[in-house]
Amino acid sequence: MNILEVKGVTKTFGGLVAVNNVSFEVSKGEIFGIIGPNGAGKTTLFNVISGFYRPDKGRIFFDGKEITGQKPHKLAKLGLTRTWQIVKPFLGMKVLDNVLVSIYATKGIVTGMSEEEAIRRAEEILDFVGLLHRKDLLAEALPHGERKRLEIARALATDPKLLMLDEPAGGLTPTEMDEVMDVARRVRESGITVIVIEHNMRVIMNICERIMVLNFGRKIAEGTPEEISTNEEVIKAYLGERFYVKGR
Amino acid sequence: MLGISRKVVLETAKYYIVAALLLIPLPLAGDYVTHVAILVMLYTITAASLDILVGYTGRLSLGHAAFFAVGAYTSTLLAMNLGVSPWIGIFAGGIMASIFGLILGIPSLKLRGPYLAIATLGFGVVVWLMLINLDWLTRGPLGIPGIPPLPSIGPIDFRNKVSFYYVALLFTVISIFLLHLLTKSRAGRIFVAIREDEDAALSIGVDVPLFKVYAFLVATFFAGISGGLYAHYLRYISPEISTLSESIYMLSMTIIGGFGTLIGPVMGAIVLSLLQELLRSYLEYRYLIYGLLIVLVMRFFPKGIYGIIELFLEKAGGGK
Repeated sequence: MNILEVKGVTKTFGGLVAVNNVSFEVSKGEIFGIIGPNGAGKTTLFNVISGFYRPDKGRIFFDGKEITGQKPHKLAKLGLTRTWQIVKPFLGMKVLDNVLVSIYATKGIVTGMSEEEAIRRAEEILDFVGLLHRKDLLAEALPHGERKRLEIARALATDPKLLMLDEPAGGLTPTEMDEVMDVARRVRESGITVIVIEHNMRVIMNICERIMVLNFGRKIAEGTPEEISTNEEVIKAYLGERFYVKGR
Repeated sequence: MLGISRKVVLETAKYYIVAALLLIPLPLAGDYVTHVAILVMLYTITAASLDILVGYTGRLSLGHAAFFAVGAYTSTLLAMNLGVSPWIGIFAGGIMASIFGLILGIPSLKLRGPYLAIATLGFGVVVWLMLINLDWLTRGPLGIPGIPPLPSIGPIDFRNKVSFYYVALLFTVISIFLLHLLTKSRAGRIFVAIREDEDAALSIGVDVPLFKVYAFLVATFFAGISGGLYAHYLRYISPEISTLSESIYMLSMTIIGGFGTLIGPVMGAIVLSLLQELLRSYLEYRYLIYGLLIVLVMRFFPKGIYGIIELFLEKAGGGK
């Protein structure tokens, strides 16, 4: 069963077609990768799906319901949550409070969980991403790698069905990358579908079951990591025409 | 209140009860001190309420005096034209200020930074012009003299400064206590999340417009309450209380005290009001001094007076 269906989505900015008639489906429980060179429209596509931009054309279905043009905060409550390529922690708040806000926002501030329950849940999630020992620090005290994981923790606290990670390994050291990959895998194991935008091939080839490739806003390929890594169009897009040796 | 544990409520209440008890003997220091103390307390309510908007939610407002004035005029006009008891009028003033808060808050939802500052500044000027030009209602620039005092309760006459002092103390302690609880509540932490990053807040499910409006409602309500008290204390109001310079004065208290700390703005209100009393003979230079203070505070102590005190306490604590 598909958790996300994107049908013919187009988004333009003035004369620039950032996303051009892109369609794809993500089935429940998989890790789906989106790759493409800089400016291919990956983040724009994320912004459209997560409700930050309204598509010019096309429709989006989440968990069987149409969500085209829905507001981001409503989508988060429905179970579709995204993270940001350039991390946006609430710097002036404690790490624990960063995660608590997600719980309050999605479960309600008056009804919802009791305070003890909310704190227990937040600590559980921080433990899951390996940040529990940092819970009482201000988020601004965290190094970049931990901010990336806080970003994931905060998104997980919304209790998503679909988690969209925008370059979770961007700017990380190889060790930190392994940690993030491990978190992504464990998120999937807990039953959450994951979509990852990534630049780093090692990460994407490692964790994704299926990959979609964008170039200049168009979808140029979709398939398993093996299929993608031998795909003619993809090699041309990444390395340029002259690197593609026919019949290799 | 809005997801806050009883433990936190009781712990916070302790401080406010102690503060109130400490302030009970103050009128012994004489009429002048009592008078200044009343005005200072009214300003602490306004500065603390402004902090919800500026410090916690990150919404700069250059029009807070307008809501103070709306509260003052509402309660006054209700009392003088319709004979409504000022005890009720003060709350009606708070509600009317909140309605004005909605009128400003909803259209300015999408504005950020300097654009929001200009919108709030413009709104303040509009209110000021209304108070001047609707002279059939407000007597225009002449202002309204002879406002009825708070009705006496039994033998207690609130024309007496000392009696009024205790009313003001009660209102101040309760208002700031409620605002303090708000900042510790779930809503308060959501305000801070919006201040830190609106888009991130949206992406984790925060209904950002709703909470911005909520912050506006709360902040303007307490400004209105404080305005109502002011009107029935001085028993004379004029459009002067809604001017831009008054708004900037309130904002100076919040910033110099240390925004986003609630108690900071309270200290800011105390320090600036006392400064104004001390510098009475140099009154025309006061904005120059406030401006200079804001620059110095922002440059060296972004957390304001609160930050300075915190620093001292840390040093004292570290020495042990």
